[in-house]
Amino acid sequence: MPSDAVSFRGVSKTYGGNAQMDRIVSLVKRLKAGNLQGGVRRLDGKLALEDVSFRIAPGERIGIIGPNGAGKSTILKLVNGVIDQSRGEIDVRGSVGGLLEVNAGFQPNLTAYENVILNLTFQGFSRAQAGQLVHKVFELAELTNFKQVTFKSLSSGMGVRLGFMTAILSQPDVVLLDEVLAVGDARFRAKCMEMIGSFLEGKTTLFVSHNMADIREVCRRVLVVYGGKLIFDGEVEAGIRAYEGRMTAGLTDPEEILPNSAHGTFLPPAAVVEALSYAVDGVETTVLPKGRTVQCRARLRLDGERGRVEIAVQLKKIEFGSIASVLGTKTLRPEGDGADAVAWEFSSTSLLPGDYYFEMSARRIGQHKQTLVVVNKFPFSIAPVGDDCGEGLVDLQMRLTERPAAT
Amino acid sequence: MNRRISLPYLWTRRSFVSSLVYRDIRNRYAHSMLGLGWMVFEPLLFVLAMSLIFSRIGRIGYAKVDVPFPLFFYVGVLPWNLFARALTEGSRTFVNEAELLRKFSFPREILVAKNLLLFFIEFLIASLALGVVMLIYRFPPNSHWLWLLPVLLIECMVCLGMMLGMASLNVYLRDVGTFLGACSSIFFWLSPIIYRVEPKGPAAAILYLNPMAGIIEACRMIILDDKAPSAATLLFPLAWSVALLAVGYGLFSRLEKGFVDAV
Repeated sequence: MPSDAVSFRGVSKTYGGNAQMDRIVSLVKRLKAGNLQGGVRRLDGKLALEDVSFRIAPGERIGIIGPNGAGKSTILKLVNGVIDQSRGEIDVRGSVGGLLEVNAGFQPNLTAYENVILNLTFQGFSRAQAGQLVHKVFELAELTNFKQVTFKSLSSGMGVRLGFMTAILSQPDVVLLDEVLAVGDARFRAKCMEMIGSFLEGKTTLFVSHNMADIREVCRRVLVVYGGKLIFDGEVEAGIRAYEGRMTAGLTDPEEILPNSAHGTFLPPAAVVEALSYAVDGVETTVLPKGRTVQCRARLRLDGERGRVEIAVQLKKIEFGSIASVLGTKTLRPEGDGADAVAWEFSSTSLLPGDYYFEMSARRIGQHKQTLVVVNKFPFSIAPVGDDCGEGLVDLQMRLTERPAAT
Repeated sequence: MNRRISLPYLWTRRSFVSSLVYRDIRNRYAHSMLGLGWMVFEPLLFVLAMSLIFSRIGRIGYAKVDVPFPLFFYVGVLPWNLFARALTEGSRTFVNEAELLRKFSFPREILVAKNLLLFFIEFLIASLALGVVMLIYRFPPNSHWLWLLPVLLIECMVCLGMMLGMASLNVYLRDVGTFLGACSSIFFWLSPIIYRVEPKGPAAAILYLNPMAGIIEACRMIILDDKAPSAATLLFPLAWSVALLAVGYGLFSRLEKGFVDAV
């Protein structure tokens, strides 16, 4: 354990200021309201991170993904030490640096050169060291001719270039990159990726991004954060699938997601949905006729262990999105190959000809320490019938009629 | 985050502190032709304005002093300005640096230390204007000037303690900063800037409750009267500085935890 570059053990973070000050503020409020009964309570803060545990080995490159407000940036700020955790333990070995927000405190009225020097000294360099590094920053940012320009005259893209290069060149042991590639043109992005590859070789890197392609390129492992909880920790592809599955399936509320693992235990992908078949009257096909009842079967594999799972099945039309969904629970009784069948049916009567797919996601319920969301897509199409069907999401038996309905 | 600050530690972060001071001064005088010159010019204009007003209106407590009014006034207003900056600007230290607090990890006290340094540099530069006034009136410096060191040290400790406490409170209750801003004009009249404390007068005891009264009087004794400051002038400020430092640091260390959430 001491060899970890970063480790979180049962870390929670509640925003909302200072406990002591909250008591004073709440007392003042009560005095104002003329109501002093009920004692002085702590004001409710916003719970941003709840019981998060993970360990990162030196040199690992970790992607952190999740929707807005999930707690990604909070994790980075905790690693950086800008904020303190409310509960739990955090260990970080070595210096921490990087870009937490896009323009790292640059002063609009100072020159670009002065700004980079200031930024380097804020990161802990002496003025002499900063004076040596600054030229390299401008060279790599390809802004050598802009040193004496006031920062406000630079474009936002140029500002990010300076910020990024400053962060990279300061060569901390643990590098935090929060949405750094969101701004900047294609050529600069390519350069950033190259820099991450070369300069950050062997550096522990925490990379937050909404761009899955960047995550795939930079990281070998991802943490998926959802509603302040860590719902997945493991291999990149499985993590991205878990994240996207969670986003599309919209499974219940994050509160329920997962009783997190024992401290520091990674969560490998533990469930797989596979091999879906569609059958009409016992005949398997992926081109379905209209107006029939379709039997669907999928297999769910959960590490050969039995247990209750929550299952969400969503019907989607390509380019249209979700049409219908069903949610349910099932007790899995895995057979010889560790998989159990999940079956459902639907009527194809209201579907218009076109391409559809089912998305199925599953997660474990209960105390089990490994719970995760998996998702998979199973395409099918509805066969065309005649040419008066129209287009849209569903077939409402809409037809042109001969004459207006008489009164 | 339990790195406690000390003078040797501050020395290791000197680049950080000097960068912040540089940034503040550069920002204030960006796009200004006179630049740093304003630090001397501004107080000189103030002295001129006050001298014009008081030469017409009458000479309140100054009547019994035999030095030219501008000199008398400026010796009082110099240490006062240092205190006033700490009271108004200083109490907003953390709120004003919200962006820095959110982005970089460093012991938060550094910002207070930096502000004290900044205000003291301003004080030193403004003191050049005192030199100008002294030259005009051919008023020579004297050997008691060494006494200025302990007097200014006490004033800096008063400012430091006050800033630590008030800036911390102001993060959670912005009323504090606004209130202190309003207080500074009241304090101006309660301090012996355009008048002198009568050592034997009945008001002296009450006036000396104000730490700045003693400090300003001490400066006047040293510079204008060519005397060592009396014990009466230094005792109250010294007691204040110790009390303010203790209370200020206590408040700061209790409130520091939630700064980033609240600024």
